[in-house]
Amino acid sequence: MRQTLTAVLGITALLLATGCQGAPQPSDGAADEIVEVVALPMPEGATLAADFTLTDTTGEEHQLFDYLDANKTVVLEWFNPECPVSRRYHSPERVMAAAYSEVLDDDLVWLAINSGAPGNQGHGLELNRQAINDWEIAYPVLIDESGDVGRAFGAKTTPHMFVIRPDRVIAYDGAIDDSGGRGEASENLVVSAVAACRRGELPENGRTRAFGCSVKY
Amino acid sequence: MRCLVVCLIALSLACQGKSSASDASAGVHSADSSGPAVAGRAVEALDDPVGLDSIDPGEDTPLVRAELLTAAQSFTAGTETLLALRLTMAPGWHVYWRGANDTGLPLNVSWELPRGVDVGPLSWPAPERHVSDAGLLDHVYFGELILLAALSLPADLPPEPLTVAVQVDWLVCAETCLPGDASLELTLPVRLPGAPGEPPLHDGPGDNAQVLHRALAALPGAEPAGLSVDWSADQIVLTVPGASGLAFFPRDDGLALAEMVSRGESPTDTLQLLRDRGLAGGDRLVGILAVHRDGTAQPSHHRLDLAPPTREDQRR
Repeated sequence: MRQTLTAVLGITALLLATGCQGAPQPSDGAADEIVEVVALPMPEGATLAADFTLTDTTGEEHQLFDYLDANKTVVLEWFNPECPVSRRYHSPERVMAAAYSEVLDDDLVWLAINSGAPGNQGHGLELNRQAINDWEIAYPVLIDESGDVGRAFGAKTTPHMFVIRPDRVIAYDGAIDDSGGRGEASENLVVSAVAACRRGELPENGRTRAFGCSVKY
Repeated sequence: MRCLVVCLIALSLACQGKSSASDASAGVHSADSSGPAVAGRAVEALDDPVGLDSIDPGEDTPLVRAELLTAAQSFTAGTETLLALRLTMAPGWHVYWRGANDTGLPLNVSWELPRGVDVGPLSWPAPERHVSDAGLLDHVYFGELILLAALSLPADLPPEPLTVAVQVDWLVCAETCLPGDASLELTLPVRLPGAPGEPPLHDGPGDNAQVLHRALAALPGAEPAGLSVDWSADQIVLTVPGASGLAFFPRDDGLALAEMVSRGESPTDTLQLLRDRGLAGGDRLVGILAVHRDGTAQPSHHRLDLAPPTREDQRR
């Protein structure tokens, strides 16, 4: 744990030193152009996302750093089609879909991840494909059977949301909204976090307690 | 068969709905979580012990049985009476306290009351700490959960049967999680103020009084004698002199705490809690403290709701 922390701090320091605005643009020969590098604000105790490559239900591979290095913000949604809470956010009210369409833009990618182990609730290609179909999920559902990616992020529940900036900083980690799992939500915390990142600011709530079924590692 | 079974439930849960004017459907209405709610089906499953042992979420076995109870036989206008909401979980299944849980969903309870009738906040017993194989900490209830609420009846109630209704929603989990809900209601005749012979708040003939007594005895009490609380920038140290062990169950609306899997319990008279500054939460330390003492099998439970010291209070 200590080593990881040191590594994270080291990388953070490096990024701060070099400016963390995502991948630098290649020079096109205009050598006199001065580019103002603006460092994005760092949350206290910033954690950096670890890279991963996972395959989605259609067989396509997705690598996190490919997206981040292309200057995209990445939203991760931990997902389990058989968890009633995860399901409730997709059907019949399409809360996730609504949040997705609100934040969708060229600079953003939304990925769902299922870290359920074989034999556990919600595991299985067919099951996940069916859910994508039934609930019209417009983004990929990545399969993380070993649970390695879930554990690397500390994903605890379905749903559990992460918003990752292009500089690899995890700007938001927590619940999808402020309902606490019961009653009405007044704020979609992912939509707020993405908006804050786009303004070059830190989200007001960087970390909240997520609710839902436990991830079925 | 089903009608007979419903009548048997109504009789066995005596002390409500006994008015001669009401029919067999008055009184407790219980519901299970899987499939359509039918009281008869719940009892059929309980009659068959094999049904409960081999829990398959696909079968029609009630994982949670919900009941609304009171020991009183009538509602007396101008008084208070105690209501109990009892959930009985199948072995191995648990529901969630409104605690600082890593997972789950707390119970959601909403009342539907006639005009002028009020209900106080729910009183909860202490939960259990449940750490999963994956190291996730939840505060849950296995077996049985009884919530209490005080119902207050206005003096000007019309002298006709009164119905109290409640909607309960839950997430019940073992290795899998299933949602459930129950719509319960309780109808009793109304006595006018000053009528003689009404038993006090929580006494009465029959089993329900025992349920209420058990629930009252289980409620957390006030702060333990001798409790000292030492607040520093990041730590809160709780000490109960004479304790042989402590455990703290933080509520979801209190101060956010870190590393509760290891820090939430201690085999000594001291508990060192660590603030989680990155996590959104309240200002006060809110929750239930369990105090173990040598010579007593069960810990005592105490409500804590502590404000951090103001700058003037701090010595350093």
